[in-house]
Amino acid sequence: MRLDMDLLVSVVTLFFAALLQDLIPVTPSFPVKIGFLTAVALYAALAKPVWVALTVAVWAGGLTDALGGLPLLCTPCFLLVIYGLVRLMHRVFLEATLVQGMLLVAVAAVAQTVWTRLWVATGQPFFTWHTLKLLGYAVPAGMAAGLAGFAVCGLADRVSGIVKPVKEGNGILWAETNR
Amino acid sequence: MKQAKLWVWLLVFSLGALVFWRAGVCDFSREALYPYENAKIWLERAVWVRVQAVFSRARQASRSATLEREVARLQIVAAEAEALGAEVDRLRALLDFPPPPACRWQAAPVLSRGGTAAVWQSLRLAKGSLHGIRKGDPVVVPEGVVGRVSDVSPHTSEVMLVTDPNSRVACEVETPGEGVGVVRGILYGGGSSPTADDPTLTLLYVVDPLRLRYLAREFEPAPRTRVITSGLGQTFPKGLTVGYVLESQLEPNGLSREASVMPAVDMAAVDEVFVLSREGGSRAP
Repeated sequence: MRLDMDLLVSVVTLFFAALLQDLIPVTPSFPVKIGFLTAVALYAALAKPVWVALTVAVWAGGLTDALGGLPLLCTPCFLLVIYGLVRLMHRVFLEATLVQGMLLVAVAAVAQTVWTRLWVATGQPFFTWHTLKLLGYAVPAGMAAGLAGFAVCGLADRVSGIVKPVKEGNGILWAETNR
Repeated sequence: MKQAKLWVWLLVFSLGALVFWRAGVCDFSREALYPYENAKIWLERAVWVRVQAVFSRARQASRSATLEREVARLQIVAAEAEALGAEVDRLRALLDFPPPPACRWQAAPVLSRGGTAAVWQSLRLAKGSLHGIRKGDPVVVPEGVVGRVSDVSPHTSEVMLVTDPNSRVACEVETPGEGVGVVRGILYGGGSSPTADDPTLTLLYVVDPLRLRYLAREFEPAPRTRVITSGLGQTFPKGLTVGYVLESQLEPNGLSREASVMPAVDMAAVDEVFVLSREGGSRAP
């Protein structure tokens, strides 16, 4: 049976994203987590086939909830909604590039903070100075996650052979032109 | 086509697991990361500490001498405590009091803080049900109370910190002595104190102050008064330090008093904690 490289790459990238996201601690001076799992799910939404991207979104969300003590389905639902929006925008302008990835994950991080806080609402006032501060911190955290996530996922796709190098006009790979 | 079918099955299976096997998914995720997170701790202890020791031999030698003196002093304290324990046992027997539950403190290193979401204020420890830790066990450090175990897997356990907005601890204020009696209240985790957004407090304290509610309205505790566990909640033993009073005011209904409390422990700096396991005792659900 041939190994599905998408499966292998997805499992490995999700695992390391979860490990890093879990290990990097929040501090009083930077009180938000860097959402590597969200970045991996958004990369999959832009660069992978439909069923792969949906499964990665559910796995990334499930890991975020299971390791973060959130109600399961909170983040998977968010990532599935985001997946729909991203696929719509993908038809118009979005690509899985580093810059667009950074901006996309930054926006998604802010939306995820709002979504999660509303989902686990504890009856305390939502629109407080503290929440606004968290949303502000979510932007650089999302940009960092987007940069790292899109770079590593793109590299993993190229190394595993999922993404083939672009051929020049004469049908010869760019990497083979100097042989 | 075959590949697409595999992914559809994986998606359906994953969604099913999230809906119907919640506890299993949480335990599985934590256990999958445990060896790698534990490896980081092992690296810090086995390698980094030794590398540091090479560069700071002199400092280590002086520290070692200090620690030896401290051990000698603690041996005397332990002997005194043992004598006092024997006396307490004898008096309890005379008064027909039931013996206190047998307890066991065990050290546990901190694997991670806040999980992957950082919505709750929590720690993950590198010890779990296989080490005898159960849901509801109190977690402390020498400075004071850290929190309580909120979830357990075989090798790891989640701790809800006392600073989490969902935390409640039965406490009392150390009173000056005669004429005041015992002043008890319930300590709430920080988050929505009226003074929490005060910029002066934000500069001085890294976390929102805790709130000690339902205190007797007549007693106004002085700033820096120690707040200790009252032992009434059945989770924490009596007398553990939780924090220190910053200020107090009457609650809006005027029936009781509320105090802002600074936690005794700097949660961001905790690397190792102690879990109190009660052998044979019952635990909170």
